Amino acid sequence: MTVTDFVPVLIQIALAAGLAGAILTGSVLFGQRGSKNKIKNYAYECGIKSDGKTSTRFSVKFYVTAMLFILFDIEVLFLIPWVLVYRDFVANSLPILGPILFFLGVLVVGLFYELKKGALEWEK
Amino acid sequence: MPTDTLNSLGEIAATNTWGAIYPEMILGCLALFLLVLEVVLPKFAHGAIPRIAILGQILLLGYIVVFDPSGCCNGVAFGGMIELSGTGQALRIFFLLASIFVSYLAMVSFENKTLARVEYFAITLVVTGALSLMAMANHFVMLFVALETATVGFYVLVSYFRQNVLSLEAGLKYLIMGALSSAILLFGIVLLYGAASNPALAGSSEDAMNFQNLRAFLEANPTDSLAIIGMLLVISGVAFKIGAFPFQIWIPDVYQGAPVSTTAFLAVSSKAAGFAVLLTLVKTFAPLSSVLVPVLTGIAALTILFGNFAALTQRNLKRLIGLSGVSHAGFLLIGVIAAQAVPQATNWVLFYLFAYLLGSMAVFAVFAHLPKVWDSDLELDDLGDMAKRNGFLGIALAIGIGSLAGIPPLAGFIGKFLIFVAAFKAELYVLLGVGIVGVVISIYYYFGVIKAAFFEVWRFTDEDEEAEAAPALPGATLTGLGKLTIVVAIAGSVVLGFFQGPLGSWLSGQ
Repeated sequence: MTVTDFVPVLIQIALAAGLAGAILTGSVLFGQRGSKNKIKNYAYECGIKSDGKTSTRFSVKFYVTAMLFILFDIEVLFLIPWVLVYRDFVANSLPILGPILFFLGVLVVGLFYELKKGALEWEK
Repeated sequence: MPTDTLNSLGEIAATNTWGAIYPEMILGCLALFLLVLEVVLPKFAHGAIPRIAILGQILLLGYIVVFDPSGCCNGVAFGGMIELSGTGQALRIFFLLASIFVSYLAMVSFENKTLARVEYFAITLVVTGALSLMAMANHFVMLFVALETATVGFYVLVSYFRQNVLSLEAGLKYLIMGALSSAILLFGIVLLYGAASNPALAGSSEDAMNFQNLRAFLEANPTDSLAIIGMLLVISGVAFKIGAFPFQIWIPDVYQGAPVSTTAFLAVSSKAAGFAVLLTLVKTFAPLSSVLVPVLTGIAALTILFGNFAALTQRNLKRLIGLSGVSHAGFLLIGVIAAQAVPQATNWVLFYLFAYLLGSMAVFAVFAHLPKVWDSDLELDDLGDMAKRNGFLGIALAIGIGSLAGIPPLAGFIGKFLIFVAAFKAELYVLLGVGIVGVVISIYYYFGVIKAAFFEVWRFTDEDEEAEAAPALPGATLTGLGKLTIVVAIAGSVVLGFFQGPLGSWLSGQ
């Protein structure tokens, strides 16, 4: 592939920019214009004045849950393919049991740390 | 699974020499062990954890230096992911030594603060392991993963003083700059990968992120524009890490705000890892040297001049040392450029790094002992005739600064001298001239620090009011361990100044 083969990408970019520009210009040129006022500029929310902050804050405790999720998520991610190739690896005398045991050991240490830190005691 | 996949897996498995990366594995396990200790030990025993971290690292370093000084093996391992070499072993020892100093500095500067302690030491260990893997990387995937492991650790370490606004600001700036530089680096890697794995071109490879394959491709296509742009982006990404001009903009703020131990870690280990990567990449990009060398030359010259001129007017100690570190990056870049023509220059760059490590650590250890609540507020005036009130710290500061400035007979002088010899041998006369001008300028601000420490600072006195109180005696917390650490740093600077034999022959024997 040479640089010229990327010309379609360039055309795509030009099309995207051109179309967006054309639509915006068209709507400014041909669109109807009404009077602007404060109420019309509000984000529509069933006619009720919007209330509260736009960004809500999370309890920092969620990080512990997120860590637990990653712990088990990654475990499954590795263990399922591991099970599928186990026989092939053993038949070809490739190392497979030791590495996964080390990996699981690290996971167990992580789980132990989480539990001791009170990951499952939500009320604390 | 198909047989040929299994066969190639078998070939890769045969190169998995786990024994060769035992220091990194031990560092990782030690970090996990520290975290477990934190939850197992009762609260009053937590003070022992930093000591255990330092002791573990000293034992590991001692084992490597005594029994395994030149590494177990040479050549590529893990299916081409890492390259084991003498340079890698030297840098591994470098990172371990730096990490011991950093752990000690953290122990000192956390003493009077209410903070979570243990995590800092665990993260330091992980980052050290990642940095030494980064120095051994032989594949862009390995390089990027190791780099991110280290950088994410640094995000936490920089903003560790979370009650201090400056530390948080530094953390945010480092996060944004780090993400930006990673993005640039990654984009460069993608372009190189795209160019070098294009089957229509000669020398293309399926595993184009491997440095040897990439080099073979570049040799076959030295004018490929995509590859040249990719190379420039990769070099820019690395230049962010080493703080070279024009990517040095984050250095003063981050160095000032970060805890002093993290500043030392960034200034020494992170920079050294960047240079390790650069040394490898310069070899990989050698076929493009007609573009690479002028670019690096320009960067080196501007880095030296910028670092020195910007440091001239600084009053804040950590900003000053940070900006002087920028100029050191420039000197090291001269060495890297010269290494293309003069192979020994690689070892001289390593020697310079060791000298820089010892000098910087002595200076940062003095900063850590100065009595300020937050070390980001340390000004030149805070040194105020410190040498009279605590001679030991005064001498340590003088030797550390002197070594950084390159005053004979200290190690920094030999380091700069070797870099200049390399530049001369490689016929880089312009850079040599810029370097010498840079050294002359740097004498001014380095001696400003020594002057502030050794002479009385004029303080405003009003007859009606009480004289402004002189700062409390520094070094009240200086323990035996602290003295020993500082003595190791300054003795290293002095000994390497007079007697480079063992280190030199070890480096060249690698």
